[in-house]
Amino acid sequence: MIVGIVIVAVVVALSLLAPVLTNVNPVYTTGPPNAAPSSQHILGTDLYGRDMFSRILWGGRFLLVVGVLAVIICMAVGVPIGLAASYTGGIVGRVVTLIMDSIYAFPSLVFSLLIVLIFGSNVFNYALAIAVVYIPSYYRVVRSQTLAIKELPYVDAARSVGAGYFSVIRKYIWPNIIPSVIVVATINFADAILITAGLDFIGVGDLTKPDWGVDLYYGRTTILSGAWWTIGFSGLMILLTALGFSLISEGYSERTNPKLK
Amino acid sequence: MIQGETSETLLQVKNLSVEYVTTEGAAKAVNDVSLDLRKGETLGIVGESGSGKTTLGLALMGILPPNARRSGGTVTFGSSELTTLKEDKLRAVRGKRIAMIFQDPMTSLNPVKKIGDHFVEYFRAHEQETSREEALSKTTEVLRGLGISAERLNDYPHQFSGGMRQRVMIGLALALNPELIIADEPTTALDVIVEAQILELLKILKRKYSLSLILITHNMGIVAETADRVAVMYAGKIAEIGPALEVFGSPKHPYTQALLQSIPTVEGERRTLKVIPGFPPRLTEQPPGCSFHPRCPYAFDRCKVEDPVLIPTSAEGKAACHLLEKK
Amino acid sequence: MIMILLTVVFIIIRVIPGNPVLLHFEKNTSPALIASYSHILGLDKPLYVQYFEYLGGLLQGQLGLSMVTFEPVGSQIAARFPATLELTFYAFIVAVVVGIVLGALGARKRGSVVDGTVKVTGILLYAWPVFFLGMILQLIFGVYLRWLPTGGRLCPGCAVPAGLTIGSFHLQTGLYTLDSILALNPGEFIDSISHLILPSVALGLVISGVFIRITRTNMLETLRADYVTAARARGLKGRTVTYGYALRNALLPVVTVMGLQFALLLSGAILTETEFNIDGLGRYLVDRVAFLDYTAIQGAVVFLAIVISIIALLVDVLYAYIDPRVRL
Repeated sequence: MIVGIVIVAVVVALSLLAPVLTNVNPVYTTGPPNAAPSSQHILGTDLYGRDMFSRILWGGRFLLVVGVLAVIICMAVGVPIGLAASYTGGIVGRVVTLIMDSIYAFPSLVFSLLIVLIFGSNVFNYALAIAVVYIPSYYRVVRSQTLAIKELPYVDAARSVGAGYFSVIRKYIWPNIIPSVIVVATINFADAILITAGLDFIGVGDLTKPDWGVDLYYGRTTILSGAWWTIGFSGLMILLTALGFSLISEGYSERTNPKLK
Repeated sequence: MIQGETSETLLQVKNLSVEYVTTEGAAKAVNDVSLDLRKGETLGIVGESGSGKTTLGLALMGILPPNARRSGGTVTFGSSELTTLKEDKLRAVRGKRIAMIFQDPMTSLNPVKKIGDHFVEYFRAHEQETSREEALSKTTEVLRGLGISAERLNDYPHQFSGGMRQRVMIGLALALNPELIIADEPTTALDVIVEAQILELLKILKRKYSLSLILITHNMGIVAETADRVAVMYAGKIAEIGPALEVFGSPKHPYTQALLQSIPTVEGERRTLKVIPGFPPRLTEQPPGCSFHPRCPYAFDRCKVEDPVLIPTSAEGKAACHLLEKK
Repeated sequence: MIMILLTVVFIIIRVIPGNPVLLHFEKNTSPALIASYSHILGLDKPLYVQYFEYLGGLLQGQLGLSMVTFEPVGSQIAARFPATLELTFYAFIVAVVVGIVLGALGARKRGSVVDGTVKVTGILLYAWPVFFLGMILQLIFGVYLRWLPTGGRLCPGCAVPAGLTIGSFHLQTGLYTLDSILALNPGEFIDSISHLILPSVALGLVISGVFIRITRTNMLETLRADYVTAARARGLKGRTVTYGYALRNALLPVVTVMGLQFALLLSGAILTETEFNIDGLGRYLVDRVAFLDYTAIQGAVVFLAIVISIIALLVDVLYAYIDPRVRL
């Protein structure tokens, strides 16, 4: 898990410090196209002659912001719905679960594709699309925990002395779902990165922004002539970021659930 | 231990120790245990949960879980020293000469395997030349002997009742005519009526096939009924061992005494339930000296320092308690 | 469940932005042009009429008309689906085999370096962007080593495998590997397989990450089960017990997950097909996106939803069949 945190911290730092670390513009041509790494362009240039190094530094921002937004939306929507529906139970619970299950099975990439295509490719739409498809995951996790806890004797005891709806949720259920929610949230982040990069790779969205996924879109054809640097580093960054979050998720879940070791 | 001249010793355990590797250090589940089993006898091993009796059973067969290891001692069965055998020779012994019956028959049978296939696989593992038909007919015979009709060969474990499942387990244990059966809590998962049936069945089969039986349990009642000799275990060590009548009639070790007193009875006057104060020690942090001393009503200075060894208390009985030397 | 998905898709494409034809064209196209397009595509009728017509059409296998070419979307999809099917099929095999083998390996050697490697590999593979892995494979095997082709399904200029012809009976599935077997043409078979290796491996490896994890986790549990100890007590061979008892029971829950993974496979197929220039459903979708051909996009997405639902159903049935506790 620590490794994951370190990786993520580095990536975030790089993205935040981009303006400090380089003064080369990632969007304009600053060198010969498809130039191999050299002392002038440490990581080479892409097919338009843009400096790869600065593109790497700048390329994470969009993805990270999408990730953050997606996770926030998901948590803000998924967790309360999960709590309410599971705790209330009955028909409401079943109907909501049915809807959630239907969405759960749907491939997130396809859905996000639709949304971004129709509504525009700004950060918020990406985040929203990813969030919608991911909410069921949060819902499920919250639901299974809530159902388990709600039946426990000490909850009954609390209710019998008059604890209200919200205070039961707050005191008993909430603390127990936090670990699971964190695990889902970190995986959510990783997936958000992958999906957003994937959509950029397909060509949906704004291709002028410096973005690792966009790099791969442009790099597709150039690698066939051996210009590996046009995609190598960008792809690596996507991988590292997703990997970092996944490791955090794994590590954290192992810590809170040692059986899995 | 003075061996009876008339019957031979089938199993000899000398200074056996088994450790579990845990995050808090090594836990000695079985601590320097020695005992003998004579041919045709039933030895009961009793103790609380965590006393090491199940681990002892598994160690005898050499099927300890991956995080446990035998840290010392030997097990001699007949003329073979099991502890030095290589795995493939040991496998030939397991199931064929020594068999084991487990506590929960539901979880001890492979849920995706038909009952018949359990047997067939078993037969063919030990006698390679057996064809499937031969194995099946043997299986039918065994099942019939247990009162299970041959039609049920193709059923799965979850389709049987608890009592029948345990009979299947017994059938599996007996199928290759072993000399020794180790039964680990064979009736704990069953209700009382079925328990009585199973115990009766074990007695009959034991006589019929001249089996030796090691009965591991925490239920003193069934040990009193079925065992010839009894070993009482506490915290991985043997506290007392001897003929059942002696151990139950005049227990020498304070732990045995306390155990017997804590059994609720229907007869006699009403009294409050006597419990042994305190808890069994954590196996990673055993107290110095006698493991039982923190809970023993008779403990004195020597008990806190020196670990007692088994001393003969009669012709056939032994107990590990410093009190015995005082007398 | 399918209904919900369909309706959602329909709503998104038809209802919210209004007339999708408007989306398709630039802002200041003549209203007359828009009107005529709408009419041809049947988009000028009231919404609820459109919805029911659409559903009715679906039942007959109609998926609407492409905005760009006015061809039926259905036939366009039918021409391309076999490519996707082939790809996902082989990728699935790769994923399952790699997943189970590695997962079982990790569980058997729990706690060791091997196990640690397996765990990390599982996470790493799943986090790996499929298109990136595809590119790396293309670079290494296609460009540097020149062992395998980098794209397409057949060599340029090669004929499409003809399938089987007996008298007047003709069977051509569109699955090139199958068709070449049916036509008894080893050359074609090798050609189509060699084109499939890289994309299947890329997609399969990424999906295998999940399988590695769950196989390992489940097997860790089953290895400690009572029936395993009991089987060992009967003197059964270690290998028999590990595979026949522990692994077999560990795999049961894995089957339930397979249905979900199929959705992932399809998503991945979209990316993989784009990467490797395979003319399948995924690529079709991406192309239509570039053309803003909304009816085609809707058709493709709906088709995907249906396929996913069918697979999910099949997986449920399959699970009931292999778990005797559920079956009886």
